[in-house]
Amino acid sequence: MLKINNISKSFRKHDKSLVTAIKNISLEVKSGEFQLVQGPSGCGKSTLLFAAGILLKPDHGSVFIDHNDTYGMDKNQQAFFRAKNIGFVFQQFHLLPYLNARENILAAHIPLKGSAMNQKDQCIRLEGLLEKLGITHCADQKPYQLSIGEQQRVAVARALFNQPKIILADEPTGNLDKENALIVLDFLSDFALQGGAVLMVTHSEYPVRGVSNIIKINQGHLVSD
Amino acid sequence: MKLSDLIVKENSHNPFVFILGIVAITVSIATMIILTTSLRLNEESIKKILKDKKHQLESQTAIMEYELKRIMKDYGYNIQIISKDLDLNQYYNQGYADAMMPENYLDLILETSIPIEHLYFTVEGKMYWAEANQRRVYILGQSSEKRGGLEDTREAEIQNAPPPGTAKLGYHLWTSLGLNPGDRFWLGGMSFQLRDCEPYRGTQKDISIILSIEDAQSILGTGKKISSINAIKVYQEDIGYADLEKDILSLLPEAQIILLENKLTTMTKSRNSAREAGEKMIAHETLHQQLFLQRLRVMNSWLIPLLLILGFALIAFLFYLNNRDRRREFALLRVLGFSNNKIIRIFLMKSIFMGLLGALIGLVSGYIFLFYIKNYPVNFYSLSLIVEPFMIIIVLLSTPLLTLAAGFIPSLSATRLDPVKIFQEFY
Ligand SMILES: Nc1ncnc2c1ncn2[C@@H]1O[C@H](COP(=O)(O)OP(=O)(O)OP(=O)(O)O)[C@@H](O)[C@H]1O
Ligand SMILES: [Mg+2]
Repeated sequence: MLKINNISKSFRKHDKSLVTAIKNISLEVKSGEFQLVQGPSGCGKSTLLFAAGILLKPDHGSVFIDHNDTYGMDKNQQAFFRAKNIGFVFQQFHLLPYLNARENILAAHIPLKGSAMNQKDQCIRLEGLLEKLGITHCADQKPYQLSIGEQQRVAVARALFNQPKIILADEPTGNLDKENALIVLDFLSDFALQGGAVLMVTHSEYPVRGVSNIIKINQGHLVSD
Repeated sequence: MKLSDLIVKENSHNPFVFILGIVAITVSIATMIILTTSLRLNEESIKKILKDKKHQLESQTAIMEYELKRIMKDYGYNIQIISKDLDLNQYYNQGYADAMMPENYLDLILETSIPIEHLYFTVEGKMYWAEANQRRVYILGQSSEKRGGLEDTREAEIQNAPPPGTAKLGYHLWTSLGLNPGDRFWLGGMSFQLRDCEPYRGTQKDISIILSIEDAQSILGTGKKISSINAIKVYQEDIGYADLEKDILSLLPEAQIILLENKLTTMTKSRNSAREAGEKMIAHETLHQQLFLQRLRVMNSWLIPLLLILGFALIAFLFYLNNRDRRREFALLRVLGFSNNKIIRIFLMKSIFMGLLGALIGLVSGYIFLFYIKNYPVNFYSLSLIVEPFMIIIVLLSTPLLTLAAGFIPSLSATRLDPVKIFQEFY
């Protein structure tokens, strides 16, 4: 599903010196696989994830999702492709402050302009997700009225809403208590079990169900064990 | 959920920028409306005042004209026709006209239809009276009155010309020569009977001999020539004096005309000077008002653009500030797969809406303010005076375009945000 071929990315710092964030990384996450990315802080995990999410063009190498060369597309195609196929979950929950939980989830569908689901299907899907994630009771509340755990569950629901092919998660449990962390991890496991691909950066000590592979990175390089 | 829902929610959640932006546009538009409309109203009322004044002057002039016509009936012009060759200075100096015109000039005048109450002509000259110690005398030949144009004269003749062979003598002449009416005397080898002894006048009339035209012509040796034609009470109701003069001169090419003062000429003069004064006053007033309007226009010409620029600069600035606060939000939208077009549209829809709403409120409040300061009654007529449909259309069309422009640059900068950098910042 996700195939990363030998990508590198360096950043220019303020003093103009180059920092290599990731170097010659190749990996593949197949449908139904749940892979973890681990490594010390600053080793390039987030960079890898952004590159996989068509948000950060690598200096060289390619990223294929569902056999599409993602960086070969133009900006609009990338945006649509991202909306349709990729779900993001971050450590910070990144909800739109002026929308309530329900609207935040529905907003994920705006870029698709109803091409994936009609109004009714959206409604059914929304209520199903709210139900499963246990946030029906607070669905009409704005982010600042939600607990941290509820906010992250809303973010997970939003990531899942368009039925993406892959979920990219960057320390999704980093800010959560155990109970909420387990709920979120459970969902990602279920997503993989149902045939989705998951690539998740984590430091978490919590047990993760159904993990197929752990990728270790050190100073931008893959570490083979 | 649609993009427009997103925009509406955002603005109602954070109405500060929205409201402040609308206030800025409202103030700009309202001020522009107030300034341009008052300028227009001023222009119109000044135009009306000037028009009224002109009208007033015209009707006053018309009244005087009517007066003149009335007076014309009683007076008419008094003119004297003399030879073109006569130097007027010399004429006034010596008191007689010695340059001659053909005698048929009188017939030419008689043939025209110009109505003249009294018409007669003279032959004038100076000579030395051989039979009375070579004393210097003036000879004045007078014709009897000719009927000029008028079928039957309404007035008695004013002219009492001596018949041939008779004469009137000036005061000095008959007293020094010891002559009485009925006596005979010799002049230029011809014998005359004294018909009238003229009273003392203190002018050169006192040394004048008044004869019939024929006698004067033969004594002065002028042949069939005359010195002057006098037309008293020339009635000319429909054409002015200038036209009358032109008519006569085209008839008598060798002549010139003197207009004698009477009540009519005085009236004409005062009418002319009154009209001139009125016209001058209106011209002055017009200039004055034009200067005033000019000043207003100049003021408007920089005040209005300044206000509009300020209003729209404020909007651009508000958008800019707002963008900084919303960077994270735009980064998130990018991650969620919102295209640049969609993100730009968020700005543009918002700015168009702000422009439309601000323009509407600005128009309404501007016009209400005008109603208030002009103290107009609220009715359809005053509405039609103040409100200009063209202005409304222009404002409603152009304001959203301008706010669109003001929102466009900030929207571009929002699309240039790198979501990755922004996300990294917040970790
Ligand atoms: N936009 C950027 N500009 C400059 N340097 C960057 C940028 N993004 C990342 N880096 C640098 O690249 C390296 C990798 O960063 P990255 O965020 O991928 O690390 P990470 O493994 O996610 O770390 P952490 O566990 O702390 O989140 C770091 O040295 C970081 O400073
Ligand atoms: Mg990271």
